[in-house]
Amino acid sequence: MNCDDFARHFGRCIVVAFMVWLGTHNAIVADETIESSEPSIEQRAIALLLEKCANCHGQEKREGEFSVISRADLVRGGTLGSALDAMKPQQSLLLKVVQNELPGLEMPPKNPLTESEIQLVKDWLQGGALWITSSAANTADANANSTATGSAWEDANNPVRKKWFGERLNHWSLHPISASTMNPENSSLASKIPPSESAIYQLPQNALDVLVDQRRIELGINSVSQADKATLLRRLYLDVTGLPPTHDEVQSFLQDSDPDAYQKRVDQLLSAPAYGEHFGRLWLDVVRYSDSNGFDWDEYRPQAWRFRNYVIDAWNDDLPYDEFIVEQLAGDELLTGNPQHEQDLRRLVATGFLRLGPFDNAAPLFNEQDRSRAEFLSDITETAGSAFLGQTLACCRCHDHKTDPWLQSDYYRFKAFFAAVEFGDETPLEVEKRREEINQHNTQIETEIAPLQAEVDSLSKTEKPSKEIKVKIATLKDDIKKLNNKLLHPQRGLIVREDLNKIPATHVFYQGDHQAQREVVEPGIPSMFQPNSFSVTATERTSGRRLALARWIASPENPWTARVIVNRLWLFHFGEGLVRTPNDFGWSGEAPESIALLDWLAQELIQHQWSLKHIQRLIVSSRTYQEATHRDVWPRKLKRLSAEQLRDSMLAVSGLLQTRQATSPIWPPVPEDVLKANPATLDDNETKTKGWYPSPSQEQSVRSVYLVQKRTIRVPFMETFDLPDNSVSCGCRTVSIVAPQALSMLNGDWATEAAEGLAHRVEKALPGSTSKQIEAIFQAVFQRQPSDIEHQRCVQFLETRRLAELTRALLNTNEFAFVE
Amino acid sequence: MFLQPLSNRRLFLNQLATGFGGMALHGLLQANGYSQEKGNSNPRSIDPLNPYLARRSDFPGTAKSVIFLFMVGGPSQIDTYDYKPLLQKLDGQKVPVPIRDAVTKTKHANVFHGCKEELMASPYRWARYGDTGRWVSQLFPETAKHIDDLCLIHSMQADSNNHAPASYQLHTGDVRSGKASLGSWITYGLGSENQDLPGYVVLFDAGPLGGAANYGNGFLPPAFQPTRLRDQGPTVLDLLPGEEYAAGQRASLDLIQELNLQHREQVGAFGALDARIASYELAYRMQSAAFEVGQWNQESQHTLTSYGIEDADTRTQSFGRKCLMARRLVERGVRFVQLYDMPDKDGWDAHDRLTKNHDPRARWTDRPVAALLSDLKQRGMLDSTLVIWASEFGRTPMMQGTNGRQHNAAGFTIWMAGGGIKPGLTIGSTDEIGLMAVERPIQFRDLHATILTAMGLSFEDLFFEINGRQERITGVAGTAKPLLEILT
Repeated sequence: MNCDDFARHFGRCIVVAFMVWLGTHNAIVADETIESSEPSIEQRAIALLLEKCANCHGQEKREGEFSVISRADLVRGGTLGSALDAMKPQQSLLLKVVQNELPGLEMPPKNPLTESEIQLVKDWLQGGALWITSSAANTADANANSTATGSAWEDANNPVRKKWFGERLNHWSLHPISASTMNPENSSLASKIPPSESAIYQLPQNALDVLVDQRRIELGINSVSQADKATLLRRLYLDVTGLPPTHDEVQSFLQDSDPDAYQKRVDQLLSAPAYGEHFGRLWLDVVRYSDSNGFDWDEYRPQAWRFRNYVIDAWNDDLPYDEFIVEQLAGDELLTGNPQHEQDLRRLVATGFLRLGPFDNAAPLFNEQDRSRAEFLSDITETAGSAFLGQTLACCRCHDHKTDPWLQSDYYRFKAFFAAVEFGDETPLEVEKRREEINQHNTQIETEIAPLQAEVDSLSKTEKPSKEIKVKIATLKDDIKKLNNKLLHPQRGLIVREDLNKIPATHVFYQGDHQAQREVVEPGIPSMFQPNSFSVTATERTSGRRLALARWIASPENPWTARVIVNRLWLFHFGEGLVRTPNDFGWSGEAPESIALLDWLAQELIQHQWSLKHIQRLIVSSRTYQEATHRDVWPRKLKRLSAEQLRDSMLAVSGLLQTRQATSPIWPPVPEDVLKANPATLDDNETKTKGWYPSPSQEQSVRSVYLVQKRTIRVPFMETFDLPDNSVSCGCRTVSIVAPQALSMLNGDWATEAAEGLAHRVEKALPGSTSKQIEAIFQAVFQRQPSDIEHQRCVQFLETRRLAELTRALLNTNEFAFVE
Repeated sequence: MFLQPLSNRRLFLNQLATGFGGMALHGLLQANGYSQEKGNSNPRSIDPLNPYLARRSDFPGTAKSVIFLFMVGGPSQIDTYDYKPLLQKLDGQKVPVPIRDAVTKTKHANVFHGCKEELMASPYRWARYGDTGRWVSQLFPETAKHIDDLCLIHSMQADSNNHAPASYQLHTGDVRSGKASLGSWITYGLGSENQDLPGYVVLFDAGPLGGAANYGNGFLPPAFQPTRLRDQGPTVLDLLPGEEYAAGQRASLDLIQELNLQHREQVGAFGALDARIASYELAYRMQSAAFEVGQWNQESQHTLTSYGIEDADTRTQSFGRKCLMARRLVERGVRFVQLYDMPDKDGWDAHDRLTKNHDPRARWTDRPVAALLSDLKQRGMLDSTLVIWASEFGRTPMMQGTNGRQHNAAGFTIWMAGGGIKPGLTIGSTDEIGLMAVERPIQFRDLHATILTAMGLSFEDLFFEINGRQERITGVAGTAKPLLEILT
């Protein structure tokens, strides 16, 4: 247990918390005796420091602006300078002080350390003053011999309750999704909203706005203006589809006097295929999508795209989110027998979720396949925790969670749901009827081949064959080859299967080390809810484990699931989540800006058959969404276009964008020296899995979601514009604004091609008229007319420069790069 | 603001580009996720307009910058720096039972996987060098002349015996991909001394095994991504405009910025808008600075010759250029240069016929590395530049294939020099055949803690909170132990 973490999160009740910490700490030390005979020097020294000094130099009372609760605090020191010399620990101020070498600074002031205690401090400093407090040995022991049956809230014997005395249980995200605030129409809030002249209040308010206003009263925000219509439409288009509107679409909206004009656009965009391509990409971040394995060879996964398109289609079809969860975790377990319908195939493809993580294929060469398998299962466990539950499971792989009520054994109980997962790459991805057709067809072909082959075999035995025989053999072989080419091959997928005869036991790993196996655990949901094994019913072909887990996750009673996804939707639309840590709904994450709003949205989702489009319609139809962006007004943030939005927008405005849905990924050409980032590309094999295979130039201009996503080679433009690392779930991209982005937009191939494309199109449509060309370019890039002064400036620019230089300049502006 | 005199506009742009404070900055800090996390006690705050702005170290360290020479693929310790007389005697014999038993009991037992039981003596001649009289094989005659400047660590260990996981661990502290690399951590902690050049640079012909995931920023803000620099032609991808745009580059930039300033007047002074305006000015400056640093051919004839840039072998030339570039970058204030020796797809991965692999690679790198050390020393830069020579693992004394050697993560040699490292030290040792570290085994996290300490960074304090964890390069468990005795 790291005291720093602990005190931080329990700062409110620091005195109690601190005592609890000492208690827990002692317990850990006791646990460790299993592994070593006594606490280490580090553990004893740290316990001593905390016991003797932390009352005055702790998280709460930082006398002398100094605290001893972490090594970092000691190095940082206080008003008297650093207490711990990181380079020469033995010369630390700390030692001088406890040895009473500095007159007037004898510490601790009342009960000086004994000689043996001083010696302990010396020994600790001599050893480098390491801050090793936990050995992480506190595993599932609390669970063993447990007679608990109820949740930690009901049953005093629940191991989580016994361990943390209920401290960690009183967290907002563990409270049931509240219905008490659920009826804003009836609330008296409306009367609290200050009267305003602002036009925004003439817009109809939905319940979301009432809850936003409630929070704003607390924040002291009382006047927000409405976004102008053109800004609003561009925002709506980019938010919902990832693409800007055309000039015509803006004009038609500006001129549309229908009171439902906006709502019509909302419905139209939520139904556009581009919607799924945009939100699908955001979900792919969450599930660490990649088209390759990672590690040494980073082999291409030629079937991963099926999962990508599954996600896009799921969003477009508004697949209920609970089904979306179940399919990704356990789509195969929903089938009885072989796939019969297209829906069955979809469900198999959905299990690609379990396969998307990095996988070290080379490990068996070094007898490290156990490590590779352990990492594979850890990845699934942790990604499922982040993506669906907003829980930081990685924290309890090696020890009990430091802040949340998760035992280390809970990690392994959760992992056990996945223990039977095997790769299903050889499973034909065809409905049964089609499989039979393929088999019949192939049998027929093989029947035709057989006599030909027999003839070849017999002719080949001829000694000294004549020229005629040689020709005959060649002809026969040619015919066989043609027939072979007619053989049909079933489709395959990046999917999973299970073998009911092969379900390995799941062990707790001591300190997360797969080579240090401890007790066996059975599948189980977090002990805080239910400390015993979870009820699992096997299906005909599978263990039923993942289906049981998926149903528990995708349940209205799960306190996290609905909240986590509506928070993601809010984040995608406003630029910042109601909970600003979308993958961490625990104590170390942030509390929601408005729990009432979060819970209302979660409840709406559940009550409307888990329809994500319903929530998004609520959001974009709200008055709040239609407000102008202000620097300090919650909740809207000014957003820079993402890598995908930027590239897709450039393609769109230049007229180059291809709107088709790609199947296999599109490989953009990248410079050779970029490919060499992974030397495996130099060592490509016959099956073409390690190299880079640029797609034909006429196929390049598809939306960015279709570009190949390798793990060890990153497409420079995408990387420069903050495409996240695809090894782990990313809930929220970090946005950077750095000089290499400017270089990429000024000098890079993609920006230049878009600039040339647009200039070419405009020159062709409006030959000879500079003035009209300038107007057309402004309409394309900004969906507006140039002002007089802008027009004049562009004319002046074009006196010496080419039209493509003008288009390139406009594509580089802030107006193009941001969504207001 | 629009169409105002150029000089005023430039002044304003310049102010933006050299930092500004107050509300706008605060807003941007939040927008960019650099804001102080709730209760985050980490005092590091990053100016998003200038993420590489030099920051104070936690305490005075011994080095200002790092040149990390990464020998991709696993050069053999027992054929370079770790001389084992017993191995020379036991050529063709099986691994002595006590040694085999000792290794089998550890997590490194898999080091025997895939190779023969018989030992292979080093085919190289060995000699003692310098006042410290330490052994170096005939592979590195030039570097051997600097032996008294080197601190040799003979007892390194890695957690995987495969390239990518071990390499990820050396770069990021974790055998899995997705974590932040040392260069990202150090520039996150300290920024850089030159704002017109990237603070974290990688140089290679081909990258390390496991690819870009080795040297990435992982979960750290994207501003701490490395920048790949080339040692020939335009140093940075997209550094220069195409021919048809070159003449109008400044005019185009002026137009962009005029439109940006007008846009700013309409929508308000958002930090992110200003940051982007500033980034274009920085980019413009970077064009000349990055171009200039690539002009290594301006160096003296003596320098070019000493680095091997005029050698008959193009691979010596290529590695020499990278070493020289590394010095030029550090000289201009770049914080961290990661340099890979990887001229082809294999690197030092000598599974078969060791000499055929190691001889040329040693020849390509020996002189440039020696020249780098001499050059840094002669310019008075060695004291503040930490030079590290390392790989993801070493090789087995057991033979593999025909006169080759298998990977060995159980014990191998790296060296450090300059940057406040005490010269002439030897740390740890392997068993009598050079198979496993037996005296003072050192893990990568210990190496990372040492490097961070040398840079004046408190390794426990250099963390980034992500998904509920304070991630550190030395791991969350806090078991790293810096080699304080090798720092001056």
